Amino acid sequence: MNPGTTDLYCCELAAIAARCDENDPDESVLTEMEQHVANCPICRGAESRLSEAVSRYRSYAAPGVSQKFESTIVTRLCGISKRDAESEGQA
Amino acid sequence: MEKPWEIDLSIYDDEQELLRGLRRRDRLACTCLLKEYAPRLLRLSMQLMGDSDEAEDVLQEAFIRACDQIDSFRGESGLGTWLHRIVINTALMRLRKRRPESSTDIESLAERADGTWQSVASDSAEPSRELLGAELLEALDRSVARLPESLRTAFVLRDVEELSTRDAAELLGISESALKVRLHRARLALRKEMTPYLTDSVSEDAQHERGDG
Repeated sequence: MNPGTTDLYCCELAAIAARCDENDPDESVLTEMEQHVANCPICRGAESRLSEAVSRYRSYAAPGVSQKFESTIVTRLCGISKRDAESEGQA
Repeated sequence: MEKPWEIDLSIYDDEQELLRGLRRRDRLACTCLLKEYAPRLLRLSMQLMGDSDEAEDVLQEAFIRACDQIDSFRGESGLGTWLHRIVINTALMRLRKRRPESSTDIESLAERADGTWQSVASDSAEPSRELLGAELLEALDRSVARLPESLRTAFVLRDVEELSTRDAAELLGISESALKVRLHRARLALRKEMTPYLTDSVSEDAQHERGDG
């Protein structure tokens, strides 16, 4: 484990990230960050596990929406259409 | 009398037929659209907003906007892709209207991650391998919701929705470099929060790499 690393949180990476403005980053610090992640065994392992978890998360079936929510939206869509039809008729 | 759950929705299995129904504002077509796409889009909205009430508002607004624009839908992309974009745009517009969050310096992020790590860990102090299924995904859901907005949106668009760096940056109105920095920060925060769920395998990987295993 590299010095300054606790669990999967890499203090070295955090220190580099702290020098980087997230709105207007210095390209050299971004490169340093990317190189660190590519070369640090803990970062590599952690990112790989996270990526695997995210991949499962992506394919995780979403729970259905409630009947109430569904009927509220359908009613609004149909209500809008009725108003549209009425305004078209008036025009 | 026909019960709602007995309504045959299969007449709109075909996307072109569904589009025609939506253009007529047919109630069945609207129901089909919701049944087919609402669950996944609600989850996307929740991931982006980090709040279930706001996520439902976003989804409602997005569906209304979609039906308003359905006549101009050219079918260059699939209906699902088009709806995804509308939900993302609606969510991002709403997020922009919120008061801007203070910049996410890494120290405050670490503090936030500390707090969240404890709250996630308290749900299950010692997750065993057999629990690493739905529980891991739920923990990831909670952890993503707790990320600061700027990191959460970057992570959801790029890593979950798998948009290209360019597309995600464009939607967020930031440079590609800024997106990359936000992604690194988001992943780092998630690594810390998800430690109880990911540690075992990572330790094994690291040991293997060092030749300990």
